[in-house]
Amino acid sequence: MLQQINSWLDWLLAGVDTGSLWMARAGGLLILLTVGLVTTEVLSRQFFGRSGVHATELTGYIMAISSSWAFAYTLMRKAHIRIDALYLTLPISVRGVLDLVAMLALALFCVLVVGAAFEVTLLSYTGGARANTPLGTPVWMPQLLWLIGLVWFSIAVVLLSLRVLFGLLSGNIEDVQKVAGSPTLDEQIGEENKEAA
Amino acid sequence: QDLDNTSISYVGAWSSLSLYKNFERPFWQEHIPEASDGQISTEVTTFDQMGLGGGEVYRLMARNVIEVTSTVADYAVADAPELEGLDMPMMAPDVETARKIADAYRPVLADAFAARFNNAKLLAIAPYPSQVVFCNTEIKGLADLKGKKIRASGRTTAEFVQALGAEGITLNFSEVPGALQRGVIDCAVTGSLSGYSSGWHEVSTHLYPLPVGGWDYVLTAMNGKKWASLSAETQKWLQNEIQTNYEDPVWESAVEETREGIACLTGKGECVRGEPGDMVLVEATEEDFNEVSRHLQATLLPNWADRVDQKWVDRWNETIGKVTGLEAAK
Amino acid sequence: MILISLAVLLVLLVLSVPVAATLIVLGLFLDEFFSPFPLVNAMGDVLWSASDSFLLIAIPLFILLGEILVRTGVAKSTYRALESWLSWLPGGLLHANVATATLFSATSGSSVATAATIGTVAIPQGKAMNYDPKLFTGSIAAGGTLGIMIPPSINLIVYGFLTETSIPKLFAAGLVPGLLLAFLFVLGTALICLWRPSLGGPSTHHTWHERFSGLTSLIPVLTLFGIVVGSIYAGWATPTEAASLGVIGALLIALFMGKLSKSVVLEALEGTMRTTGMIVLIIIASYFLNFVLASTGITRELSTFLESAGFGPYLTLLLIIGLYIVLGFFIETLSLMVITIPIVAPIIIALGFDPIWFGILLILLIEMALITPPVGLNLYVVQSVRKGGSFNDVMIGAMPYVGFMMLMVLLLVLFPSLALYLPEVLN
Ligand code: NA
Ligand code: NA
Repeated sequence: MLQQINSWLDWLLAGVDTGSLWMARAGGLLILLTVGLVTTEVLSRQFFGRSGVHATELTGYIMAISSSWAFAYTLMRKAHIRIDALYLTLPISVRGVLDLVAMLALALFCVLVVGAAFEVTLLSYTGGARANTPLGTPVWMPQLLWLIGLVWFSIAVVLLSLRVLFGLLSGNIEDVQKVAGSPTLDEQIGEENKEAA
Repeated sequence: QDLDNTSISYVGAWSSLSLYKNFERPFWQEHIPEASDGQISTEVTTFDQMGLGGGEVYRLMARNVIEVTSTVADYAVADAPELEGLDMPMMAPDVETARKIADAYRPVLADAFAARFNNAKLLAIAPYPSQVVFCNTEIKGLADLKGKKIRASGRTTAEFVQALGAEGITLNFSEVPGALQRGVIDCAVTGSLSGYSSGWHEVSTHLYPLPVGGWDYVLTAMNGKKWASLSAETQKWLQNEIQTNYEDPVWESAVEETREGIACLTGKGECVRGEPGDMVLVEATEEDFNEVSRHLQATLLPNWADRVDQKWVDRWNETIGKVTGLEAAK
Repeated sequence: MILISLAVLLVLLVLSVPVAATLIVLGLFLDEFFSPFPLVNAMGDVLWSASDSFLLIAIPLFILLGEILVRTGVAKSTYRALESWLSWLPGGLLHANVATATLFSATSGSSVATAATIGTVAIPQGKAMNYDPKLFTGSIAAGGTLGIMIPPSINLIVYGFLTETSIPKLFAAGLVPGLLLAFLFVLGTALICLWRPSLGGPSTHHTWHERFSGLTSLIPVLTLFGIVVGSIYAGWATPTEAASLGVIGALLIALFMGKLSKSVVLEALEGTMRTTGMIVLIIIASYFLNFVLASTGITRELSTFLESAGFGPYLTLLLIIGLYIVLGFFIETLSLMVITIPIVAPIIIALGFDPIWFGILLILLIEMALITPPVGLNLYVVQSVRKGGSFNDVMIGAMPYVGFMMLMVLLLVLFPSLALYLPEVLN
């Protein structure tokens, strides 16, 4: 039964992994778009004396959107920083529990942040808020794109949390380590395998 | 007097500006506790000290996070476009007119606050010094702004600048002095005294002293629940205190600050704040004012009217319209 | 209350709860127990304000610039060239780390971006040559901090904005202290490695021919420096816009070298997003924490204390330096600046200190905060770039450099003209 759940979760997580990579790439393209916008702005100001694309306003939105689209990718690459000074000295079972605590803390983070971001976006939409800038952008548009990134991040966090929980329940500590443990250990394990081979 | 025993937490506007240092902070931090004989205690901070940008404070007040707060009306127009009607480019060329407009529009603003921010109570309308134009290139009047690259932050100022035939450049405020100096832009708009204290006179040559950027009114409002929790007597006392010991002095000083700002920037007149600059003071002509009325009537007011309900347009015409002789229509 | 928050923070961090989550949880905890207002209601607005930031965009842009230089081999050949000049010193490659960081700082306005770039190039070299990871990673984290002292600098822009100080003057003021600090790093590293050779690596010698022929590989970086800094001083671009021009420049260099391909760009973007995601999550979480700290009155208590204490100028300055060192342990630097400068700068200026000079001193303290544990973005960046190994290595390895920074603080207080001479001359 637990094994079944674990393999479903693994299957789902593989999908999340791919999805996150593409979200991050899309965010990266937005950053490249900023480069294009700002360069156009500089050139058009220099040669035609006008603001071509209102880059200042747009780059703010792009910053918010592209970074939120990267959160899940960062998570799947285990790049959200955890301080592992004590962690590394503990036995593997305790580490598994700490991994669960870490994931649950991130899940709490997500619940709060997504809820708050949803409220802000909804208020901007219902209130018809438009930025006080020459573009007068309806604020809910960038906020919605930002929210999507946060929701995707939450999905990743929740699935990973479940995987860690069920991994612990089924006593498969190595699995837990693989999906959510400190990246330091991955490397040590990798090197041991290399030596063994 | 029988005042409530209560505490008020106040979140003010930009901590580095004189409005906060000379008026907001002394009033809320010292005057209110003293004048109430210790019945009302206060805690005072500013939105920049909280890491906020200033545009969200009314919203936070509406959600019971903040009790009393002040911010520039322009920052909050995303949530309440009605506020924008108060502050149009050069609509009030001098302090007296600015105050007349503020007083006329006050009931309308009060209703807008109640409607937009969860029954919030409007407490005060105070001006920042008038938002004048600094150019690092020669201009002789408003007409010479045509074809110039002008940094304008707010929507109405940007629209106005465009109506004049200039290019509205969007640029982060922090980058303005450097951009002026190196010719990235030709002109920029800010308060005369704050322009002086940030050294804009060192990077620009000509000063057009009329409020092309309006007055940047700073509005103070109280959370609706908090207001309702105060006794009628306390409410009355507080309103009276705010008017006589905060609002009136700020308006009186605005006359002096406008004069002083121009004196310090141009070196004409007395400047006690430091080394005066030597900017060229550009005189406004009758023609300038006609031009402004034309653009307000033809472009800016209709644009604004499109952003709000007809009800607010009517009320604008009944109040500010009467004072200025302008008319807004969709 | 301050002690309780510190305790909560430390417990969560030691339990290896992710840093961003720790900061938010601490914010909630303080809100729950110390605030009369439901501050959590403000979270959405605060997070959006922090995310929708024109200034932050410079971080991914500078990281992307570095990523492109890494993937086209420019960063590596620059590193090699500098190594050939400096690795005869005791400590070997460590000096190449610092020197490359110094050079890249002149094209990058962000310390994390500088550290990420140098880390990506240097760490494989250090591993291949079996360097002790501590001082090796520490020198990268510390060298990277020069990114905000040597112009261009995002943090100096923030300081200039908050204190209404001239940004070009601040940029000019940062140059000499930045170079001097780099020199102190090199000197200090050499001394440490003379004392404990095992902390460094083998000194290697290169012929003069090798050294001079290597100089040609500095051309791309110097060109980029010309584009980024040149476009600012020529009046073409503002400091933040220059970051975009730098990316275009890096892409053109890649094209010119025949190394521009779809996979290079894609990999550079992926690397950029991974680091950006890590940094931004921490930054927005810390904005919320700071909002809570300010709302609950901690910040206000601080300013009242400083103003009413009535110490003389130098004692107050000492107090403020101490304060930044302590706060710097725990608070992310960009939000630390935003929250403290409106309080501290007026006090300092009223005491008669020069605002430009204080800006540079503050940047130095911010650099220190970037490499002091437990919350130090540069430590995190280097750790995330090396993909493995304990975080302890980086933490311990950076400590000597904190000492060198303290020495620099002392020099700057004793000789203010280190910062003030250049802006005066240029004026
Ligand atoms: Na730099
Ligand atoms: Na730190």
